[in-house]
Amino acid sequence: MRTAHLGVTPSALTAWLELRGWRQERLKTYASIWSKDDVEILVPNDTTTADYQIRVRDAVEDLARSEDTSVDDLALEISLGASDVISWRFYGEETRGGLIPLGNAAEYVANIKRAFVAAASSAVFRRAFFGRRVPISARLLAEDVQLAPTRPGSYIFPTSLQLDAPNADPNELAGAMPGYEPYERRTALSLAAGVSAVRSAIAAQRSPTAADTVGLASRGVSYELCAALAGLVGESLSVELTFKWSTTVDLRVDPPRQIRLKSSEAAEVRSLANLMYGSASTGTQTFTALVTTLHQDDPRAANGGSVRMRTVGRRESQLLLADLVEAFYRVALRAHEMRTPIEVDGRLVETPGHRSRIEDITDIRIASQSSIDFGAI
Amino acid sequence: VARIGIEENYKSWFSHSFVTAASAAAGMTCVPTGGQDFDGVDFTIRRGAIGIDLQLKATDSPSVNNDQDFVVDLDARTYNLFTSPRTNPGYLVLVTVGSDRSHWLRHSGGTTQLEHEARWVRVTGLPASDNSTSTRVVIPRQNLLTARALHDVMDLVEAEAR
Repeated sequence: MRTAHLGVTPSALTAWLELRGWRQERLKTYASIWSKDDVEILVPNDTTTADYQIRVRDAVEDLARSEDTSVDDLALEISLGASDVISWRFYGEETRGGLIPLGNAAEYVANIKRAFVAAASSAVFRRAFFGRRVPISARLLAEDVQLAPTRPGSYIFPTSLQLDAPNADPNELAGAMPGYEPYERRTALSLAAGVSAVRSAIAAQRSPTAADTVGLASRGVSYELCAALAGLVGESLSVELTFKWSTTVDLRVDPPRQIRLKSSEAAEVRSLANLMYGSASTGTQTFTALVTTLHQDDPRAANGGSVRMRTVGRRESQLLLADLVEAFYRVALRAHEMRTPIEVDGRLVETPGHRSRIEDITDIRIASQSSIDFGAI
Repeated sequence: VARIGIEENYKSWFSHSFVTAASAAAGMTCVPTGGQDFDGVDFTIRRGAIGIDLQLKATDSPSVNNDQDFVVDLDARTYNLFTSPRTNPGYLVLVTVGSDRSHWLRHSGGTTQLEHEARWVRVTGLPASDNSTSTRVVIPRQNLLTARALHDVMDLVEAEAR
């Protein structure tokens, strides 16, 4: 029985169609007819009709053909709505024979959650080692990640980050801002960047050293991420991450679609985790923030000034300070007058008892460009 | 019992060829439900986004009424599914086959013949039935399943959709 379509609702299906440029042509009694590029499909709208399930199945199968994708992937994408879907596929000796011990499965899921906490943390701060500084927002986000039904015949755990999470604090102003990306999207990008960087580091000719921790942290690698990945890659277990990016939120970069960590690389992942453990390195990153106040001791001196800013976001938003040279100060002033965010490339510095500051600032601009550097994958 | 079951399967499989041949000749899409009874539907035939659902019956000993029309006792579940509100109207197709399987498919002079015929009737729109086992459905003798007939049926469904 073809059952992939069972989670697809009429509203989710029509929302998906609208986003992809399909137009409703006409209404029938229990359905509507949509078209795009001379292709027509029938979309049922009454779940009580006797043939509702057949019609949904036909619609999803037609669309999968039209989009040249699998029915399973498309049905999941439609039913999840505006979500980035990250599928974790486990393969190797440990999964042969069609059965795995429940303890192993529980461990996979626990480590997937740890990886999300690490990625959500790096989406806020680029840090080599979080320890007790894991942001509460990162723990909350990981709690909200959805686990979709596993795929038959394999050990694939599809996880979903809902980009319009209903329990996120509403912040319409943030949503309308240029450069704004939902925290869930930034977490998914951070995960993709971090795992890609781990992949590059272990494939490199030389082993990373302490001097590399700043660069690794800048790309979203942390001890916590490495530890989670080390728990997912074993002597006889490999993992493949597949990213399906929602088109409901514009992608300002070209992130990876698939990353593999093989069982033979388990030792290197553990070594990387050991290298990052306890490191005080913080990575450079781009902060997207709204300037709240500016101060210049002497405006006529053109010696720059200090600004307070609040990072654009919902529950992960934070207050930051920075001292800016004159050129950067003028950009911040213009952004403040335009009530638009700025993007600041710099490094976060935290001193106990003081506000967090951005230092080593290399550039400030009106928000428009990506904050994620994927480097070589 | 197993052998009887196999013979019934042959009739069923053979009946599919009448539907696929007529829909292909009409330039329509014919989608099987995968050999399973999916909410009473064996096939969906579509012209663009418009479609009809079919339940197929095959027999070598058809029953007829006094008007020489064919009659089929359609199981209550399928009858109720087809007469309930639905997007695609449901049709019953009766394929009558010969009793000798070796004569079902004939070739002569570059022509292939299927023995015997397929007929159709629209079940959606018939009165609801409270019979718990089956409901008798009459299939007019003249309702041959042809490419032309399929276009006429689709024209009607299309008109209903407006």
